[in-house]
Amino acid sequence: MKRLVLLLAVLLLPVTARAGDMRVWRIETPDGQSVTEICTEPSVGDHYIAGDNAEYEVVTVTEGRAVAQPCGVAMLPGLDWMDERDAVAVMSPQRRIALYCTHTDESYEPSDGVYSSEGRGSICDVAQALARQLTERGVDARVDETLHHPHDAGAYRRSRQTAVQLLRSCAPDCLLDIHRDGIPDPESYAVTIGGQKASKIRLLVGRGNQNGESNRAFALMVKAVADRVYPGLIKDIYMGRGAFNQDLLPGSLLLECGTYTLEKERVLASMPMMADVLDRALYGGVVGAAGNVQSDAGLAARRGGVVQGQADYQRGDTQEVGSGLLFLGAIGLLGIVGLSLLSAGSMRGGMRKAGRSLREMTGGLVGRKPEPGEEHDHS
Amino acid sequence: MTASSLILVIAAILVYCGLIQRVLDRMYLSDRAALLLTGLMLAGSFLPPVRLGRVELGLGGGLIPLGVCLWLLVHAGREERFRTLLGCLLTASAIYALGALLPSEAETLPVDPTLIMGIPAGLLAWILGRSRRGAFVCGVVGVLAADAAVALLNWQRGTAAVLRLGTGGLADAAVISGVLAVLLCELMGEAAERLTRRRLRKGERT
Repeated sequence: MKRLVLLLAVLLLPVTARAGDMRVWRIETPDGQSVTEICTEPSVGDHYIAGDNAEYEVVTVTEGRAVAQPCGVAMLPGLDWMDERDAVAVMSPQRRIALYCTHTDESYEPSDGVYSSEGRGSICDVAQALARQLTERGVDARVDETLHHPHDAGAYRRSRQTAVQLLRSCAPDCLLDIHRDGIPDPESYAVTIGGQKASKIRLLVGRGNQNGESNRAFALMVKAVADRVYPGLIKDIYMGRGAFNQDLLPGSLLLECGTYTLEKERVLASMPMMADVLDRALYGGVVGAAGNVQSDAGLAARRGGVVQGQADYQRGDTQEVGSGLLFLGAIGLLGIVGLSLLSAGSMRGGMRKAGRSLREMTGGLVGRKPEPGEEHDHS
Repeated sequence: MTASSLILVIAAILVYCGLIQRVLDRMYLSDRAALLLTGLMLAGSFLPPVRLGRVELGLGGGLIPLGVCLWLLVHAGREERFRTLLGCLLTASAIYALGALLPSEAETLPVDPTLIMGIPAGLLAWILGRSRRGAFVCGVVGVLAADAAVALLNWQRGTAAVLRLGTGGLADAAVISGVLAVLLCELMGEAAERLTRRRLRKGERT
């Protein structure tokens, strides 16, 4: 009987779970000033970097409203290398960027007439446009248009396979998941850059994985370059709970390209700018696989045979990787200690079990290999 | 990719492979066989999937874990086999329902959607048979069956989606779900055993 009740409880778990609705959450400062809007529930500990680089941390979340505490100004990486004059374009390494869309149904209402498409949504056109622009800059850009319908909690599970396929097939430097936002107000994304009507882009970083800090560093580099070359293009950076498949590769980002109430044409107009920003942030802006054409005089500075923009990114990335390794170490240690303690009941017994596991895993390379008849801790 | 990023990726793979080896070690397999299978799954993750019409089957994340599940079912007793198969059906239903009912935006969920699918598998396997082996089968088969159900519905609606089964290799949700289900089952099993032991000891004293 007990088992039956437990079984029913497990089966009813999904029914009692709250169904996802695309409601807009308002993030405010403690004194009630509006910071931003986001169409999914923020969590305590989320970080937000506004367009003016002011950084906030979400401290409380109540019904429909989150309070974020200002925590200074985010330090964007230096861009001195962009001021170099008479730069010499150098042989660039193989440059690859992979793109996919987790929510392949996403569309733009004013242009497509629908919020979400039954088949291939026009978000795929946005991904293709970005890839085309990157290709024109000599970047090997690959788009995987595999559909991950329906738009539910399983979409990231399905798109994970697409992301892994892309990593396997082209080993990219950067993995981009292209989305559009669900905020109803088109003005929050509408922008005019250089007299051209365009759309802002929000960068989303998943903080719940070992690559969180590394991806944050990449997002900051992208924003720094965009702020310099196309001010207003990057709306902001949101670092939320979850992984968004960004645990697969350091250098992964989720781009919210406009919102559903904005014309697709405006979003498409932003893609040449975004491609330029990505090219500069990752590769210093040297056009052509052999690096024999310069995109802009004085942009790609040569420093010891490495494009300076890339060198800066590499340096920033190296600093952030340490926290990723610590994250992994902590998870591993916690798992080993937790399970060993639980099964042995004491610290000494737990250490003995952990030691035995290590000897088993290394086949005797570390310590004495356990004998076949030796006590085994599991059934 | 930068050298430091590569180190981070390699470290993540090593930690994860260690975890998988520990889990496979609990599956009627010798230490060496568990190590070999982990290596094969890792190697299979780098190979292209097998394509059969609209279906793609991954080697490291689909074929090998499914082979392990088949091996476990063959070696299980009649009752355990029945419980495991029932668990697979219930897990697939629970995963499908979770996908449909939980919020679609990953940041809204308390646990990442890739990780969440191992939870019903571990819970159901523990309730049905207190079996770690059953948990692994439920975790792997449950995710793959739920994906197949979604693809069937997509095809019925006329959406030309490809059904990918375990093409994510070691990082695939099916493998993650199997591993998490075993760990959850182990955690609950050990916790319940310790509670029972403590209660028995108290009873002896009184």
